[in-house]
Amino acid sequence: MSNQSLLRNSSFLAGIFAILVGLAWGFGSFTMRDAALGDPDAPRYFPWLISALSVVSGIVLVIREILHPTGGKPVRFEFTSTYRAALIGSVLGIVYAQVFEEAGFIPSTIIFVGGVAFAYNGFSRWKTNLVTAVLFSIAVYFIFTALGKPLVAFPQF
Amino acid sequence: MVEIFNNMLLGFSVCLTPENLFLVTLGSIVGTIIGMLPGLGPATGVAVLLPMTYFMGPTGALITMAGIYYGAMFGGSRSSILLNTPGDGAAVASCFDGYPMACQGRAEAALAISAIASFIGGMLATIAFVFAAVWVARFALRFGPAEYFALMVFALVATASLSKGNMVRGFVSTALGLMVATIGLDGLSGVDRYTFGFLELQGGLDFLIVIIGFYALVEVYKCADEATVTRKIQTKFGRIWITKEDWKRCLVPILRSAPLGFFIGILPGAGGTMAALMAYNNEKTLSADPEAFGKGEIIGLAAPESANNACSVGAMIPMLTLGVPGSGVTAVMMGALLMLGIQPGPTLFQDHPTVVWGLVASMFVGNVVCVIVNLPLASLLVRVLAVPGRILYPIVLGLAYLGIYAIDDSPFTFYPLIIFGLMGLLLEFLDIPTAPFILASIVGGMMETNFRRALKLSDGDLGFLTHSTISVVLYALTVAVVIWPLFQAWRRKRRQATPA
Repeated sequence: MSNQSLLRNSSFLAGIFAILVGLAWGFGSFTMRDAALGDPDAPRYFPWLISALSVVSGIVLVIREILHPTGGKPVRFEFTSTYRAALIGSVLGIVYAQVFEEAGFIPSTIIFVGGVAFAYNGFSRWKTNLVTAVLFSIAVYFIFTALGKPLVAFPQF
Repeated sequence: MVEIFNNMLLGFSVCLTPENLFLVTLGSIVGTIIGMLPGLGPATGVAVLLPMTYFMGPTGALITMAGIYYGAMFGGSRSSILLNTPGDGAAVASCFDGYPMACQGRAEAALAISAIASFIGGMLATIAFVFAAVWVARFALRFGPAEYFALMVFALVATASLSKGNMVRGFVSTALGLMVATIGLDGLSGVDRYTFGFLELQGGLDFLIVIIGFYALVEVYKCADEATVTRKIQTKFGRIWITKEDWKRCLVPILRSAPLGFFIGILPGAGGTMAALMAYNNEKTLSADPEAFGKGEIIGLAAPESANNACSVGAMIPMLTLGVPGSGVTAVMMGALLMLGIQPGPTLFQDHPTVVWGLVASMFVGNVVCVIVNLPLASLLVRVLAVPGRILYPIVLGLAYLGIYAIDDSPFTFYPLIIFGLMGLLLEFLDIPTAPFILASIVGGMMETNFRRALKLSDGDLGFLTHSTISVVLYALTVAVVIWPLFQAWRRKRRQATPA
């Protein structure tokens, strides 16, 4: 199998991913401090086992795909609507986490839900997007308050 | 027998209080609505609606969740029938004949038989649950740390080996999930593990974050395409019912598929998809006219519906009696139980009889409520499907974030949620199954604790692995679930190599 097709083979790529993550997790265990009582390595044994499982499974996948390619699901490197939504949703999620306490629940939730709505519907439906975001934020605020989980609605100066 | 009867009386006395009756009805209706939304399904539904239960007592919370679960299982098939888009994997088989029936103008019969079959399957499975759960819980009292460790090894390996036909990728997924379980302070030594300097991670990652990230976020991202956001659907129907002839033809397949689904539900990792597909193939094989399947054959809809609802009940057995969830949805429910301070396992039946038997009674009541909601009110409820995706999906995403916030009142939890949402997409991109990841992230902590306790009890001797008969049987089963698919693959290859 050519290098080109291996790089489009999901099994091969999954194997490489498993090896890298497994190694990182295994090496990461050496940064832990020793247990104060009993066996000093006790907290590391389980991470080592997991690391070994990941690396061995990864090696099996890589070797199998090189020797007897099963093909796996062909990987398509395309920026689909799903990835676009994930990217925008994640960026907005980070913004949400940053402003949640400073801006208060209602403004931050309007920014987040409104942002997602704009990402899904574009700017032509700005009225729907804004109404959805505002109504959702206010409704959830009152539901949380009624259920005994008060939130800070607006920024407090 | 008398004991079971008394327990059921206790359960109904708990479940039939006006408050709990209201909760199970509310859960069933909301569950049906969210379960029918394309792409979302029961696991996402229960995960997103979980915050509803944070403010209730354990019994009320569990009863509501059970209502949501059954409602979502009933509702899952609505979008299969009307949109050819299953609410979740278990409703895939309902597309095969349900959608052709709707296209032929028989949407009413399709909606009716799916509700009736789900009801019968759910009821039969709940009766079986009452007897099986008590027996399993009693047996599980013999389990010590070594046996629990063996059981969790079996559950993880079985889930990995049954996932999407690729065992090795299933193991990769398991390893990744176990990694998540090691984040936080080590419970036995107090050592910080993989917290990357964040104090917020010292308590570990709540697995609801993993579940909501994997289910809700990923599913909402996947629904971002133009076709889903702007889909159209039939919302006006005639009388939702079936003919006498249809009923006669479907009854035996429904009764046949329920035990099959129930048994598959008990197996860790097998899940509703397998139950529904097996029931479908079973009926197709037994049918005098297999060619009719896939072209609007009503039996092809009735059998998988009965099996997948029976499966959803069966999946509660390992979760409640052993503390090992067998499916994504039961994993969410177990997470909720732990958050309420209730540890699922064999002692649950002794320590919290009101909670357990109230839940069992709510399964019966929930099924009745669901069939009422899904027959006379079906034409009303399916109008939810007409709510445009452009409004729905931003709201679901908002609910997912706020559900996570409600767990520990910190927006810091949004970061791991975002990471798990992206990770879910990455695993899908690499064709790595997610079910083993989720199960491993849930049982990983318990697995390690039991391993280390067993090791301590045996003074560091690894012989504890084979000291009890239960452990040996469980390891033998573990080996069997690894070898069986390999043997089947080998046999298939050999058959292909030797032409008839």
